[in-house]
Amino acid sequence: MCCNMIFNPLVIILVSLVFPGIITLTKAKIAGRKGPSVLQPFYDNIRLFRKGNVFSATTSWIFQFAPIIYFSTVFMAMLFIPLGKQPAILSFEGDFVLFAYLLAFGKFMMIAAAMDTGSGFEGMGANREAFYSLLVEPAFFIVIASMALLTNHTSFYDLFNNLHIESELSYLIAILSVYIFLWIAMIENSRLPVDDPKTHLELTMVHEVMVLDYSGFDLAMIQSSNGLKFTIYGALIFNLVLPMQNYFAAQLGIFFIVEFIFAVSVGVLESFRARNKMAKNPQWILALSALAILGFLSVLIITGKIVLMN
Amino acid sequence: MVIVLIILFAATLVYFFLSERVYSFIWLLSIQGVLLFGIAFNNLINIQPIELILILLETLIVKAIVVPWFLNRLHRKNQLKKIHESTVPVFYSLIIISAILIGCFLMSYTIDNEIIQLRFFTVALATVIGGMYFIIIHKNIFSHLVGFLIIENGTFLLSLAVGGEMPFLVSLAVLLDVLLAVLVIGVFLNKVSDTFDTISASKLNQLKD
Amino acid sequence: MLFIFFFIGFAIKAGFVPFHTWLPYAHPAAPSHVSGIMSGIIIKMGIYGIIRVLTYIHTGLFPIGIFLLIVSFVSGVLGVTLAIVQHDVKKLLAYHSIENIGIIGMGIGIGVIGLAINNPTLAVLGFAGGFLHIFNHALFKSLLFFTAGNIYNQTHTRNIEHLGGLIKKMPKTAFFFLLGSVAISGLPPFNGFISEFLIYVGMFKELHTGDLLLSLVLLGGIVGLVLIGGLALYCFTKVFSIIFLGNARSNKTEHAKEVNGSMLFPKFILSFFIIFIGILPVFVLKPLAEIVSIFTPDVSALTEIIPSVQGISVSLGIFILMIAGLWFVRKLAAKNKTVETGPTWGCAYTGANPAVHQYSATSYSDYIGNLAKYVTGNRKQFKIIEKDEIFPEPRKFETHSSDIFEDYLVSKPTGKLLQFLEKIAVFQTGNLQHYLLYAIVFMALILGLTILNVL
Repeated sequence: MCCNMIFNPLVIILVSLVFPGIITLTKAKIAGRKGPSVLQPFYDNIRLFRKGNVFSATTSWIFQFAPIIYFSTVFMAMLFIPLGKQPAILSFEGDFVLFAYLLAFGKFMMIAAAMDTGSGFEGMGANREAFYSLLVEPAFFIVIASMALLTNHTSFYDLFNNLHIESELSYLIAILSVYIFLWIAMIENSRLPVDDPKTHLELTMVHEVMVLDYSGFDLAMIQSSNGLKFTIYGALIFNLVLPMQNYFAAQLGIFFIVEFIFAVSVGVLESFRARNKMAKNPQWILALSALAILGFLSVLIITGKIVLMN
Repeated sequence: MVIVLIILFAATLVYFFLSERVYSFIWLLSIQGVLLFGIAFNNLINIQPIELILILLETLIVKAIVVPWFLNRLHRKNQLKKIHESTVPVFYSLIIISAILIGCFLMSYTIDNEIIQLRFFTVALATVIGGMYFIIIHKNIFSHLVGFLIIENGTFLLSLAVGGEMPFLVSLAVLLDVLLAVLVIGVFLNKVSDTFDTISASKLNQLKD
Repeated sequence: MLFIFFFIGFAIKAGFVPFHTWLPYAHPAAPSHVSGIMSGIIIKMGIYGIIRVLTYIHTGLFPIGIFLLIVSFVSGVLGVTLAIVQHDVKKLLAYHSIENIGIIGMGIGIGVIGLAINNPTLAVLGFAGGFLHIFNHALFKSLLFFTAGNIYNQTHTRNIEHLGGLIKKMPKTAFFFLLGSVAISGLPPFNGFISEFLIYVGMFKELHTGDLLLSLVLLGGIVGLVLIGGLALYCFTKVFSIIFLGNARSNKTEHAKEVNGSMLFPKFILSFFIIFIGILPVFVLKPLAEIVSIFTPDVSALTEIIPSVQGISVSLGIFILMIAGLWFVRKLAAKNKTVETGPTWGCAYTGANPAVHQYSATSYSDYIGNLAKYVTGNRKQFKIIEKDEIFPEPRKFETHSSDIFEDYLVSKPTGKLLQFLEKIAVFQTGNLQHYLLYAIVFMALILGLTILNVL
């Protein structure tokens, strides 16, 4: 039982070590370069953990405390994710609300820490980050509401385990949900087309600029949380596409494959898509919520609330 | 299967209000044509083949290929603007189109008629209202043409909803309508942009004779 | 129908939109501790009135519930949108009270809908969430007003554009303000989250029962709560950051120092309750069950939810342990390493006054201010620099925001009324002889009308 409990987080942490590396490698290969090794971000983090810190004189204890809180929230959020038939460590009714709001708490502390430095760059990034996360939350909740409507359950584990693919409309809903989750993951982890993690021009920064003043231990924590957050969203997508299997090893294999495909597709999407105009970002993110409402209406059709067959 | 296509059709309606480039308008129109072909095919597979071929011709060829190609040529020949801004910000338009969709679904809940096939009716009504809203918010004649074509698509769906037995007549009328509209406005646009340099409706309103 | 009239009366007291226009004027004018009590308790009298009226109504509950939900949704979203563009800290907190009244109204609306369709789970959880939020709001809003009072005490200004960097001078005040901000945004591990959690679980659990209208209404409720939460986060990151973090934006903060212990003592008590309810909410479920049983006798939903609530407590416990553990690890790791300080990264140019190029409150709120132009009345006044002005002269740039409800519902009708009355005021000359003339005219009129058998 004890072994069971720590299995989920262990697997997710293992994948999160190589996840950013796969994305970088994909982008490099598409661009025709050789690319760093897959474990390079992991080595970078180990190196950063061993370094000293440089603080700005303007900052206070919030600046030093925020990465710890951010990492803890992401770690806690990881404890809620089931992997197929393996239940999560913490699972109760309405746990996805705690999941979303814990991540929001991490964001709050990061935004406060960014404003703490008193620099115009961080202020800009903090402002945009708050605004975009405000717009992307409804999409997440509407998708979960559609699934709750379909399966009559309200915890992650029950939701995912009772999601049966029966009619063709369920296929459409599954594809729509995966599509929306994919874009939510790209937005929350500040990837293209909303934000470019490689640019250092202030006009285009959202998330990267908030961590501009960090160094050493703190920076390592933030970067590992980024990788962890990405893997968590990959695990959510994995739960959505998992066909009904009873073999434990098969589920594990499918998990690795899904995460790998997710990382590769993130790399591909980033290489081939340009960044949106900054002013067009809000409406683009809002379109996700509109699509999620469509998914909700489809679920209403499936469950027969809207009687359309006469 | 039909329901899937109908929901995808509603998704293209949402995308119409998200995008602002003329290129994506034209693409969405042709995707809508293909979806309509799928819906009509599914519905009429058990009716006489001659009607089937006519419907096929109308949706797939006219709506999905001919009209977008014509629009594209018009657009390029007159070197029209590539981005058509709307007067209402896109943010609000998205909220409004979601509200229109939800409103149509709610309305279908209260209709208790035997003749109307509800699964087509809701999205058809939403498309017609959405097309009218599209014309309202855009000022450019080209976008008005695109909005008119959206309304025609919605009317086609409505014909499937109401007259399930005899879509032949309705679709013939719609086809005639579409062809005439596109031809007339195309010719008009050609002539207008040869003489003047703008096709903005507010400036053209000042044309008096 | 009767309910609508009662509701309008109590809504003016509670501060629902569009009857809220008195709130932003009353709260800043009062001394801070009174503002805290006003916002925490006195406004809730309006809510108490609505609930009392509800206990007498037993029919027609469904439209009432939907009406309550829609008004609360609008109050919540508009309240926090208007709050974002303010730069007077107490006015901002006053607008936030409107938003939280919206959340409470939503909880009560959901409860009433649950009563109307005979769904005990929905009713119980909705009411429980609403009532708990009344208590929570009193706690953290008072805390925020008290700390705002501290700031005013030390710096003599309520304008947040003149503050900044106060965390170094008033660390305890900053800590309490941070606590209040995180709590009011509904974030774990504090108590705002618990009440929102109850409302959420109620809505999600009963999503599949009922018909289309109910599902759409519940979806609207969920989206509303999410939006309000997100906007509150936006607003309070702005307030907290601009007041306490960064560099000082003017010299008003020079003489600020920490207030003495007697001012801090009530805040300790409030914070204790905030943290207590946030981490161990199981203890408040019992009193809540007794209160809610006035409306529905079947409070089994609250016992069903105990496992979830215990799950929350366990999760938050692990969370806090992890934070403490990581803090120790960090301290250990930093023992042998160099820790330097330096100026903030200024893109290789750190010569300018650091306060000038950091973000200001108006810039932070610019996104929402622009998006919601019609509601907040955001106006920018400046003279455009012409193309042929080669050496531009100094310019001023001002942004103003006003409340659209105030403009159209209160100011314009009162303006017109005043104009009309001014015309009539011609008759008030202050001269005794004129008034006697009026009296004689009136008596003649009465005599004439009696003679003509009209009266």
